Amino acid sequence: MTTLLMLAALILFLLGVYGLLTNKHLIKLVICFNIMEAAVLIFLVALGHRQGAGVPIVRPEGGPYVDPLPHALALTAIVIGASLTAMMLSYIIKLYQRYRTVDVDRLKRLRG
Amino acid sequence: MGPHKVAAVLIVAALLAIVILSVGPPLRRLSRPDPVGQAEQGVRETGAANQVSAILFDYRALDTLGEASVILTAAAIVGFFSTRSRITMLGTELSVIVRYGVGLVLPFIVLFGFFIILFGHVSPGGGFTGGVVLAAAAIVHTTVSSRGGHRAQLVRPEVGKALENGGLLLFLGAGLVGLTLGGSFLANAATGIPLGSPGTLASGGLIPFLNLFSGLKVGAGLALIFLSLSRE
Repeated sequence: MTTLLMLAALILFLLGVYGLLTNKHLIKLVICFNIMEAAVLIFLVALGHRQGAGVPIVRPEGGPYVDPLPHALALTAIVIGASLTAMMLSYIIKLYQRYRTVDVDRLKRLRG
Repeated sequence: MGPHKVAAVLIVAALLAIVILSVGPPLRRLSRPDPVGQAEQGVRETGAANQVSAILFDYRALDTLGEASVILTAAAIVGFFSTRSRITMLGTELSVIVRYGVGLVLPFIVLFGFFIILFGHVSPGGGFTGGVVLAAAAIVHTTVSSRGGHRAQLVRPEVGKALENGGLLLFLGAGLVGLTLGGSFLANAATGIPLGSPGTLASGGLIPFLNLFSGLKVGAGLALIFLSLSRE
């Protein structure tokens, strides 16, 4: 089950890499970046999963709990991904205002 | 799609498969045996029932401080980049149902955000998720109520910046409380702070305060990022 989750995270990450390599629109590149981020988060949570265990909030009746450390790392990764997305979007806005294009190929061919 | 891109994706896939298959199963063996009583020991040491919050705000509170400063840096950079003061993106006039509905629902969204923040050590949630809900309330209000070049804000910009900077300063102040009481920076139980009974609101020592400060900070930071981006 968790192997399936890890495989799904890997496929999602590869989809993000494929999108990053083939898209020309800057906003679509930001979306592919977020897809790769989500894939890494799924992989993190799948690493800490234990069989038949519940969420790591201690209840009075006890019982096995999932490893809480990957959840904490995933929260930090979500926050940092959101901050990076905000900065990338502001850069795209500035690029569009200066060069009037969001196409990567046209931006590569600009001189000065 | 050219042959170069196909080759690039296949090479990345092969490298990733090698890395994951060699690292994944041994890493899973690290967390597979559930040590009996590990979570209960965590509750005894920190007083918080939510073990994820205990890791984020007690065991590794220094990393949470760094993460809060990441949001501060991102908000500062986005605010620095948006230089125009005209409002061009928020001009759409939404229908009367949306405006009245949002006016009815907005206090409950803010209440829900504070509930997630304050009960972060008892039920799932915490400072960051509650802060995101508060920022969502501010964003919804700005999107719905702005018209004709005037941008409506839930709180004044000075109050928003004061919340963001004040949240970080209060977080540092709470860490210094641990230092003055005889423990280390951001220490919780080592300083003798009463931990309360886990599962209730009054538990966890310093953790609810750290939740509140970082929730205010994250909410204000994300709302400021949205306001700066909408200024273009």
